[in-house]
Amino acid sequence: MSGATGPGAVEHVDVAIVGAGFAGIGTAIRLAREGGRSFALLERGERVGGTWRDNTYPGAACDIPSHLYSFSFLPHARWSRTFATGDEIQAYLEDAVENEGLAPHTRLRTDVTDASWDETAGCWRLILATARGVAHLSADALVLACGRLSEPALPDVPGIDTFPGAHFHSARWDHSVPLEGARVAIVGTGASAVQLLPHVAERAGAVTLFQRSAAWVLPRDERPYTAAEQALFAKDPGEIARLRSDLFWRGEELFAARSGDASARAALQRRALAHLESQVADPQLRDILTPDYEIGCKRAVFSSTYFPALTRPHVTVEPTALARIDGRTLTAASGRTVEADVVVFATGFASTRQPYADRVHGVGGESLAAHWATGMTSFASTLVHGFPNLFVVNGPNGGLGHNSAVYMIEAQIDFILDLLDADGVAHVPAEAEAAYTAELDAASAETVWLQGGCRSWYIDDRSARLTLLWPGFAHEFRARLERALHELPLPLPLPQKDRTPI
Amino acid sequence: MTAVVLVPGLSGRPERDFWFLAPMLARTHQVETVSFADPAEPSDPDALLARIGEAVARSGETPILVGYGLGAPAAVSYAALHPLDVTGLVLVAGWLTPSLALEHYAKVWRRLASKAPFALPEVIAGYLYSADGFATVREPETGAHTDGLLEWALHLDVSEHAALVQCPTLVIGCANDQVVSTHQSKLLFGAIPDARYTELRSGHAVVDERPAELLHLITGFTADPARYAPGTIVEEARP
Repeated sequence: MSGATGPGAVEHVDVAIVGAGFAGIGTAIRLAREGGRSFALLERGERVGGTWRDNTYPGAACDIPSHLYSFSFLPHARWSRTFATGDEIQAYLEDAVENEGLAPHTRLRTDVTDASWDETAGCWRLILATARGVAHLSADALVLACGRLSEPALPDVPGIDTFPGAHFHSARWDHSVPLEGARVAIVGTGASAVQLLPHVAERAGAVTLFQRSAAWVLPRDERPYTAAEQALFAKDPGEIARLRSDLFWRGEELFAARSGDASARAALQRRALAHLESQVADPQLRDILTPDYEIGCKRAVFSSTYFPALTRPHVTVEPTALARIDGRTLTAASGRTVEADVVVFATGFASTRQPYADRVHGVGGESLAAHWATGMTSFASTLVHGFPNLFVVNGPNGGLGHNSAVYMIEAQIDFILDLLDADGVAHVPAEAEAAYTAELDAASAETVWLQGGCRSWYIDDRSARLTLLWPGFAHEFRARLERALHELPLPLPLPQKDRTPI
Repeated sequence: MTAVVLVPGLSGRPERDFWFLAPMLARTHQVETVSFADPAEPSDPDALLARIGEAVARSGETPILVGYGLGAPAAVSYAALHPLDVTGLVLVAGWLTPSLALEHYAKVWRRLASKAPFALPEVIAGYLYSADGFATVREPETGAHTDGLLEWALHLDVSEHAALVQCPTLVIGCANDQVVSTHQSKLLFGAIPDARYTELRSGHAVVDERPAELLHLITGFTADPARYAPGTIVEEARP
C-alpha cells in the first residue's frame, strides 16, 4: 500500500531503494514488472545513472563489453561499439527509467540521511533531505543500492590550498576548465586515469602523470558495431542473448588468472607485457611502466591508447606519488618538481568504508558502520545480522575483478525478490554471517588479491580482509545465492498492515 | 571434497584437454586425471580401462568420472563394468557408436598424417572447432599414441554398456560437433537410464571453445547430481 493514509501520516512503501544507478534501477524495473508491491527509488542526485552520471571525464567508457554490461532483461540492440562510452550508458539507464515507467516511483534530489529499523512496527523509518525540506518515509524492506565507487577519495596533499589553478576529482570533472595548451597534472593510474589521459594529452600543452604504482594494461579489443550487426540485433534479440552468453563465459575464463593458478596468471601477464613492449620502445619508460606486483592484484585495465599517449614528447611519467604543492609547483616524492595549471585527481573512491553505513541503524540502534568496524561482512553478500529486511546490493564481497558487475547485481536482485516473495521479514543469525565470512576468507586466501603483492582498494586495511570482491567465478556467486535461500531461517511475520495491492 | 576423475579425448593428454578444467575444478574438488599418452602402452581397450581404474583407485572417495570425446564412451564402459566404483558420469562430446562422421574424420587424419602432415593442423582445426570458435584454436596433439587412440575410437561401441550404467549421468552435447555429431550425445542420453542432457554452442573442441561454461555445468552436477530428474533436457544458462 503506497501513499499517506491521512493528514500528517507518514508515507509507507513496501520497498525503499536507495540509489538510482545500475543496482537501484535494476531492482526497480524488476519490482515494477512483477507488480503487487509499492516502491520508491530514492536518489540524492539531480539525475539517475550513478557511476555514469558522475563520471563524465573525457574518454569515460565501460571496461566490460556493453552487451554484457547491461541488463539481461533489457537488451539494447543499438550499442554503438564493443565498449560504450559513458554518455551512451547514461542514456541507456535514463531510457530504462522512462520506458519502464519508473518515473512516478523515482524521487530525485532526495538524500536518505537516516534509515533506522523500528522494532515495534517492524519496518524501516527513513529520514529524507529533499529540496522541499525534511520528509519521512517508512518501508517494509530497504534495498541499499548505493554503489561501491560513489564517494570520490582525495589524497591529503599538503599545500593543495595554495594551488591557484583548477583542481578536481575525475568523477567531478569541471568541464568549464579549458585544457587546450594547459599544463595538466594527472594523479593516479587506475581505470579512470588510463581512460582519460590519452584524451587530455590530445588537448593539453604538457601532461605529467604521477604514478605511485604502474597499472597492468591489456589490449582493448574494440570496434564499432556495424549497421548490419545493429539491425540484426534489433530483428533477432536472440542474437544479443547469444553474444551476451559468449562474452560472459569468455570473461569467466579470466578468473583463472586471479584464482592462484600460476600458469594462467603467467599467461595473462605475458599478454600484458607483450602489449607494453609492442607499444613502448624506450626501455627506460617500459621499465617505469612495468608493475611490481602480480597482474589482477589491482584492477587490470584495458587500453590500446594509454601507452602510446605516454610516449608522446609532451607527456611525462613521474614514477612516484605527488608529495606536496606550493603554488603552481608540484613536488613528487622523488623530489622532482613540475609546474602545472590544472590538477586532475584520478585517485579512486571510498570503497571498503562506505559512507552510507553511518546512516543505517539496525536492531538496538547499531549502525552498519559499527557492525562493519573491522570491515564489511554479510550473509550471501546481501543480508546483515541485526538489520532485518535490509538488502545490500554491490556491497560486501559482491564485486568482481574479472567480469560484469551487472551480472552480480542481477543475481542479487533475483535473491532479494525471492526473499520478498516470502512475504516476511528476512533475517540472518550471527552464526550464518560468521560462517559465510569464514567461507569467503578461505576462498580468498590463495587469490591474487591477497597473494599478489599490492595494496588495493579491494582490501580493508583494518582487517587485511578482501571485502570488496567475490573471490570466485561470477557463476559461482549466482549458485551460492541460490543455495543461500535454503540456508536461511524462516522469515519473521510482517506486522499486520493494510496489504491491499496497489 | 567430491572426487572427480578426468578422462581425456583423442589427444590422450589431460594437460591438453583439461588445461582449464583441471586447475579450476581442483579449487573445490579432489581431481585425478587419466593419461592415454604413454607410448609404451598398447592402445587396447583393456589397457585404457586399466588407466581409468588406476585414477579411480587414487581418488580418496568414490569419484565422478568426466569423460571428454573418446573419454566419454571409455568412462561409460568403465562405469558399466565397475558400478560400485563410480558415483556419477559427465559425458562431454561423446558417442554411443562410432558415427560416419568419426570414420570420415579418422580417414582425413590418416591421409594427412601420411601424405601432408604440414597441412594437418589447419585442416583438423576445421573439424574440431566451430566456425564461431576459431579464436580459440590450438595445435592438435599428434604422435604415435594419437594414431592408436583413433583406431581404438573407431571400434568403441558402448551401446550395450550404456544401458548398464546405474549412476546419475549428465550428457553434454556440442551443437556444432562435426567429429562425433550431436546425435551421438543424444543417443547416450537415451540409452543411459539416469541421464539428463544439455547442449553447448560449440564444436567438438568444447574444452577450448567454452571451458568456463563447461566448468559451470560440471560443478552444477557434482554439487547435486540429482538436481534435474532423469530425462530432463536442461536449457542453456542465460547469463
